Amino acid sequence: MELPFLQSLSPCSSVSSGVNASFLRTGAIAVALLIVASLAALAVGPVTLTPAKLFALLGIPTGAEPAAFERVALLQIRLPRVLLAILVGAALAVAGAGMQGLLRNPLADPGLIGVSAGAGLAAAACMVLGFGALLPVQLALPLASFAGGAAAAWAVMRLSLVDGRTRVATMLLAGLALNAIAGAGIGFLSYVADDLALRAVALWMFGSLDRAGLSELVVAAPLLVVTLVALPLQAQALNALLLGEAEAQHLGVDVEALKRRVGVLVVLAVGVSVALAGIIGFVGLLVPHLVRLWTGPDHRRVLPGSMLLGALLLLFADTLARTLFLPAELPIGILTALVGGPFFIALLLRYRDRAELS
Amino acid sequence: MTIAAHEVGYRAGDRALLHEVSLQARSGEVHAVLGPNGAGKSTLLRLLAGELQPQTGRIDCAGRPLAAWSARELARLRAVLPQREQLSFGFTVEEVVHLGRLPCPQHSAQREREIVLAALDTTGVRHLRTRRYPSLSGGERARVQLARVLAQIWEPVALGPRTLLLDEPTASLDLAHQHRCLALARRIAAQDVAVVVVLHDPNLVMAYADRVTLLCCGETIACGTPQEVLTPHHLSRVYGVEVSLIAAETAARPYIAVHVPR
Repeated sequence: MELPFLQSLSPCSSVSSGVNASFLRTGAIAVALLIVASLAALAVGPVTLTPAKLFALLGIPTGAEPAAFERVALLQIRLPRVLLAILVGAALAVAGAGMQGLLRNPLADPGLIGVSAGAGLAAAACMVLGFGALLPVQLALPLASFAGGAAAAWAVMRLSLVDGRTRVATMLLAGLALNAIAGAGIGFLSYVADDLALRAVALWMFGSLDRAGLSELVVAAPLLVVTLVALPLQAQALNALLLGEAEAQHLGVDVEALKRRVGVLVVLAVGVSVALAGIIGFVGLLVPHLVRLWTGPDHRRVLPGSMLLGALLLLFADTLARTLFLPAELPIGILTALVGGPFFIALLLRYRDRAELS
Repeated sequence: MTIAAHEVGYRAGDRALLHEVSLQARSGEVHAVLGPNGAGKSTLLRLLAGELQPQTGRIDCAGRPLAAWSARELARLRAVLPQREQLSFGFTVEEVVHLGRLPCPQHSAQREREIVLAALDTTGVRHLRTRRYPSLSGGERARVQLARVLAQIWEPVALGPRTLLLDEPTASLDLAHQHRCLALARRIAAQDVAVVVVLHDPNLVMAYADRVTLLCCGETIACGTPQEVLTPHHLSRVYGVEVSLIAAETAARPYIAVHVPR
């Protein structure tokens, strides 16, 4: 499956070491931006907090006396949601970057290997058929979708294993087939669902962080952090893999072990994210792309860069989603697709004439 | 022996690609593998590289079976230039060569950069170092990949003698660069490296190789010095064309000329 390549666009400086001063400087600016954006996101909502009250609630004495309902709004609703937006954004983006490196294709996406669709199908089954009655719903839904995502990924990996080696083309085709099957399953469930369940399924498909509370944070955060820490450690091996599998092996990389490790980390990140927030498209595809335009393809820069930009993007999108049409809430997946799609087309138009693209 | 194949056999399905082929390459030598299309040259090189496992026989590298080395140790002992490169991501040329340094114990950033630039100098592509790899021509890419594998085995290692495996390094090069590439292979061999090179042109083998293994249909036809192996008898048997050797005053070794009917 030949896809056009978009990665080699930036007129970027020729650094051979992974991380240089200008990368660190830009990274520091991005971290600062993320902190400012988080504070802004914490302040806005149905209950607007003044900076003085916000800092007082966060433990910095400012003399302001926040009311009890403001404390609840911030600590139990907004803070977990902001933290989860950051974590999910970072995890989806870094998983996308890892997937693209693994498949040596800059247009690969975790959705391609069926993780998102498998998770979505399991979640839909949970909502429509009411397996949720066995467990509290905030536990049943994430568990089901994580299991569905992992099962789909396992099936795809298993199908693409030929003579002990994972074949990338087979993997993409198996993912395609699994996506179709899961899509049919979701369609069928929507058809038989009652109105209430149908609405729940539809909202889930669009993706939203409105289920994110303190208990979800406690369950999901450690799992997401595992991916966020472990994936960047594979950066150099992923760089070697871009040369080709045999070439990476000749450079001393255990390619099969690398594929398994990155595959598991990607499934973990995407499975947990879908469990929490439904299907949020474009972050895993778009963010690593944008980062590559700026840093070049070196994973030592692409992986941390994707985390930062993914976190920023999802935090921004989620804040818009919950404040734009107060008191109603816009599904975040609609926003990311609405912003991401045209942006992507603009990139294509701008760079399609570059020699590197042909 | 720096790298050696002992009576290796390899079958794909019910087709025997190699049958009891042996090859011994010493440090300091350029050892060519020659043969017609489908003779098993690339299969032999991939066996030597450890990409394929022989179904019979054994491959030794630096005195130990291939499987006795860890992937990383092996990466420090031998570098492999693939026949086809497949890098489509927009690394700069310098970054690509830097990837070759991955298995090596890292020196200071300064020294690492010196090695990368020296490798680029060696293959004559230093002026391309800030270019994006996908924007290069086929010949330029080939020379960048050569610089990458040179950077990988740039320095002697305590583990044992080094090996360089080149699969048709001259395929996308023009006449001058073909000769520069093989002259370079000789210079590398002179630094106590065993160089095994798959070639298609008997004249290049005659001019540059110390030893040559002539393959046909997965079997060894002859092995020895180019003068011993590249006889009209062997060549006409293997390629099915009439050839003669022509002595030239300007070259130490004869040229091989194919008889073209008038």
